[in-house]
Amino acid sequence: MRPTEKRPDVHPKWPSEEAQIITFTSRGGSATGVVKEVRWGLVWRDFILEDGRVIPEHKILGEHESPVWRKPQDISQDEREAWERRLVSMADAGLDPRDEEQPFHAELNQYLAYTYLRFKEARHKPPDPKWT
Amino acid sequence: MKIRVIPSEVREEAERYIMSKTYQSGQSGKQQVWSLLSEAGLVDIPTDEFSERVKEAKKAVMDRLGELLESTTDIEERDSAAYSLATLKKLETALQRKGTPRTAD
Repeated sequence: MRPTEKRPDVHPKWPSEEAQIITFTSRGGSATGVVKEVRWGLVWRDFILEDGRVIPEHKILGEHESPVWRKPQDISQDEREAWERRLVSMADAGLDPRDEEQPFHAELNQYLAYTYLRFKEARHKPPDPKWT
Repeated sequence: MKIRVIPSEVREEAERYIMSKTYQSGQSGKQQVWSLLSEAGLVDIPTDEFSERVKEAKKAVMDRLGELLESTTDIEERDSAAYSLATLKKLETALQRKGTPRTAD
């Protein structure tokens, strides 16, 4: 399994770099899959399975470290714009975000969550909370 | 009409109330964000609600853009909000091209 990309702001201890089978909530109840890669999103981490499905960390069942989330202000302009370009090209390619557990569904979900937090925070200017 | 200045203590109390609605006290940052996103239906968007969520996100960006246009500072944030709004419009158009919302299986 490819390890999680390093981030200076957060240091999750799991998963280990060994191949790992995860159980997660799915529409039909629970499902399992082999993790190929763990990738940071704009808000949370996504677990990419060997069959191509994309599972957000908070849907994973079992005893493990609680999910690590990123603050909107930790996302750089370059990262945001790259994400936006990727979404537009997936839409232009005719992908459907309603296909669950597929990359477009996962990336659009994170982008909308991030956009909501980004602009809600900018309007209300709450104190910077602890994220741990 | 006579315009009255809001006393600072009243304004501060109002701001505290708004903040308590945004980040409830006694919760960690993660829990607060989780609550915010859950209430907005953005933790796990149902398959047939993407178009609606894109519309809501567009509204949030437009509201902020309206504020930024009144300000002569924050030009960078204004440009980035405009870029995000353009992205959301393209996504909305692409979703509309996909036709009527598909019923969740």
